[in-house]
Amino acid sequence: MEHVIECQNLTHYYGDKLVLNNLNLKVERGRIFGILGKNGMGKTTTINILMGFLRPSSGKCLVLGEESHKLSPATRQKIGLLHEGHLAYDFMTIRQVEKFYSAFFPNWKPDYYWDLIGKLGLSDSHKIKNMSCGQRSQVVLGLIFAQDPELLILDDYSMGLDPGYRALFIDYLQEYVREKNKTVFLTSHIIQDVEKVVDDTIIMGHQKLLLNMPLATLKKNFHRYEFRNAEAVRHLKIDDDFITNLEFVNNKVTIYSFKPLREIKAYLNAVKLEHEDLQEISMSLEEAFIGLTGKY
Amino acid sequence: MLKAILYKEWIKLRWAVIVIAGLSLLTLAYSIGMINYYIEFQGALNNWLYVIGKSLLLRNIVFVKYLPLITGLTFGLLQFVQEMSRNRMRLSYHLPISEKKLLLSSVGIGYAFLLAEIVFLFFGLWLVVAVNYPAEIVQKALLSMIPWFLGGSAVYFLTSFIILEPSWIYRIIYGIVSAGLTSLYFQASTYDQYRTLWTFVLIVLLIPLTILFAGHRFRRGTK
Amino acid sequence: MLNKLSRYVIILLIVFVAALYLPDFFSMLFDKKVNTPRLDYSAVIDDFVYTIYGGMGQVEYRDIKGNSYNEREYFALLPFMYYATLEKWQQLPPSLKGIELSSRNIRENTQVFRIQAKDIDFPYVPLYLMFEAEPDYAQLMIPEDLFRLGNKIEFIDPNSNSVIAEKSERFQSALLDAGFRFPAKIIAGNPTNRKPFDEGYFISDANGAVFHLKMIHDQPVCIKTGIDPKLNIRQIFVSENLRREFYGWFVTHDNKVFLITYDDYKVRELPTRTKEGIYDYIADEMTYRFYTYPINRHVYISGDGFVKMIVTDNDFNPIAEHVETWTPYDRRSASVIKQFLFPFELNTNTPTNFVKLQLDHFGWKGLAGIAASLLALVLFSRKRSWTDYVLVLLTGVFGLIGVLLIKDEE
Repeated sequence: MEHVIECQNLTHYYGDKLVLNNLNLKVERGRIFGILGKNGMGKTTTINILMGFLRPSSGKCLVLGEESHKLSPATRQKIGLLHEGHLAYDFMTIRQVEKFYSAFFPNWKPDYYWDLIGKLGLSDSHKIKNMSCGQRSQVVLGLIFAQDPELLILDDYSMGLDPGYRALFIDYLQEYVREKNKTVFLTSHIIQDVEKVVDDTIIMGHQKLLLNMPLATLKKNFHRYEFRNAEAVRHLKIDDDFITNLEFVNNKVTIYSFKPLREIKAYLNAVKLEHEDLQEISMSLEEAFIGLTGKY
Repeated sequence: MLKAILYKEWIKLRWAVIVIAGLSLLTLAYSIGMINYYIEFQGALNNWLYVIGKSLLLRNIVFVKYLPLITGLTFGLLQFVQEMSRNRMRLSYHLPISEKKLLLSSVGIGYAFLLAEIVFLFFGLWLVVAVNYPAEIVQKALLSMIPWFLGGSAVYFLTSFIILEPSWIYRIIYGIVSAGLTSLYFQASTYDQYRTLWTFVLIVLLIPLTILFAGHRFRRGTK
Repeated sequence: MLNKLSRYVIILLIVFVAALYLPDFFSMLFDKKVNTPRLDYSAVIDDFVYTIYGGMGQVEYRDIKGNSYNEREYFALLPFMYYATLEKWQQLPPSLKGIELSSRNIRENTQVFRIQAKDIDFPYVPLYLMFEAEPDYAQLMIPEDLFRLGNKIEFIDPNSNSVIAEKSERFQSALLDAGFRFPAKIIAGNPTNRKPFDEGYFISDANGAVFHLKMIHDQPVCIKTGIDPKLNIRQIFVSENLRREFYGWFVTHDNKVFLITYDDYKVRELPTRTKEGIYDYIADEMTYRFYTYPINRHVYISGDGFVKMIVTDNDFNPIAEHVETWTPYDRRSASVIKQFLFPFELNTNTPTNFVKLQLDHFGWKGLAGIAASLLALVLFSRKRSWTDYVLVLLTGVFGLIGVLLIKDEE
């Protein structure tokens, strides 16, 4: 299987502060890959490295076969970037920005752009500076689509968008990507959106990767269990094998784990903890995310 | 692609290009008025003696002295502040063109506009001065303006360089160096005082090369 | 590769600016004023005398034998300089060595000039004024035209900004008739009407021959002087003085000074060489002063760290010379430290009025600062490319500042 993105032992320091510790990840062609993580876990650092705006302290990151911090112009042509905050040349108008970008891309597909723009109902001479965040996101997306890249890297596309535009963005993205077999790497902090589009995900924790698997696998294999036992505080603790995360509220115990109910029961028996009312509580992806990363 | 970059820089600069051209015209008009006023009130001969002995032309065309400097500063700010604000420069650095080519052509295009303004001003003044004064005065007055034009060019490149640099500490260092360099070009108090002018030209020619390092630092994500 | 080069260009600019401003700033902070003695020659005691200005406004008056004087005594030793004050104090004696000491006599028989580097080479606009040497009025009148003199002579009318053909031709023929070979090399005159009379211009031609051109009753008068072109004149100065002893003076390329006398343009060499040799006049670095008084003539040659005085009698026969020295700037502590600290300095100010980039290197002394800079780089900085070391080796502290401030990005 060909990998569009492949990071090996990616490590990065800001001064003496370690922010990425031996991160490994691979993104397969044709997949939509989401990277999740709480703030400060190296999400931005990773995407900066992928986009080619940060050279990692060690390790390497290959994007379309080239090291990301020295992508050749030919390779950059095949990568569409959406920068945090939907960066655009604010000083240009709708028409000017299309004219400008079209000169750089031989496969330029103006129809994609004008289709999206047409729905905004703005005049061609409308300046990007004077648009709402949502309108601007459509312009930026239109430019990326028209560029017809093999790989799309979208940094926090949902930032500043109201629910309508967010849904619109997701709809267009999904349609475009599925139809044309594009590869997408995205970050977002709106997990419901991610749930709708993402095939694979990694979740980043403090200086380590918490998880790297297809989303479907996560939803199927990650569980939440609850029971009541005031003693539990003294007997249970987080380990990498059985208990991914733990919460105690009064005498209620919540366990997050990749193990099925049967094995959890066996485990609790082994540590001699009463768990008569043990039961699995279903969760949304957002709850699973919080379960994995902790609330704090 | 070069055409597209020209298009973008033109969008950023066009109003400034027009406004500065207008200011140049005003400067020329002021110079004509000023010269005629002095000739009227001093008499032609006395005016000539004054122009020769007291460097009247030099002292009274202060607008010419600082117009290239203001132009350089304005063009540099207009071209690169909006590129650097909110990291917008990332858009440009991701374009499928080498970053060196991109930077040097952006700066080259901006400088071409600056040079056009300077040439316009230079020939305008040539006309204005040549109507009223003999070749000797014309030559000296025009030679005296060359350091100012070089200074304006230096300011343009230095401004671009400082803005394109991603770190504030470096910007401050560069700012100090720039002040030191720029002041070199504004030391004259009389006509044609500069000797070994080529050394001053050489310095101006070196400055655009510094921009590559600023771009490189941006790409590396240096803070 | 280009990024590396770009970094070095930035460092080079830092070195350049640092070399331009830091050494000056350093001297400004640490250099102290040196009180230089003011040397004179008294025709009363026939010996050198001097004043020293101490701090706090104190002034000491001495002669070189060590005798002290008070102010009044000292002034009396120098009647040609202080005659007005002496007269007010009623202490001006009626005569000295048979010469009448009246204000008027002293004033009329005194003439002074000074030559500095900036008088020899300076920016100028090559247009000149030709006065009517024998005007119908009590004073000289500013003419109504200017002239240029290069490959030919042309008078220009400012009102029309055009050449006055007829007058130009007259002067052109006058010059050619006198044997003038264009183009003109040196054109010296005194374009002011605040002078008692006009002597026009002294002009050296393509062969180095000197011509005297003036205008009498609107007609050109051009005389070829007998001044030897081999003297290799660098600059001529004209000064109309009622004593009418000399038209002016000139400096040669080999640092000699001559007067052009009214005695058929015969030249008279003034003293420029001294017994010690080390205080010989160098036009680009020193100031030359000439004073002629009713008794004796004084020549001062002054530079950094010394003033040399040569006295001749009225017939230019040397009678005495004396030098006063003090620590020159180069050997003062601020400057010495500067030379050890920095390998070189850049300047744009010249002794003339030009702006010019000049590099002064401090030779072996600068090695101290270079060595210290290299050591600092080795000790306090992480490993670097060899080019950084080479740069510091060549530029010392300046380069050190540059490579430390601007980090290598590789």
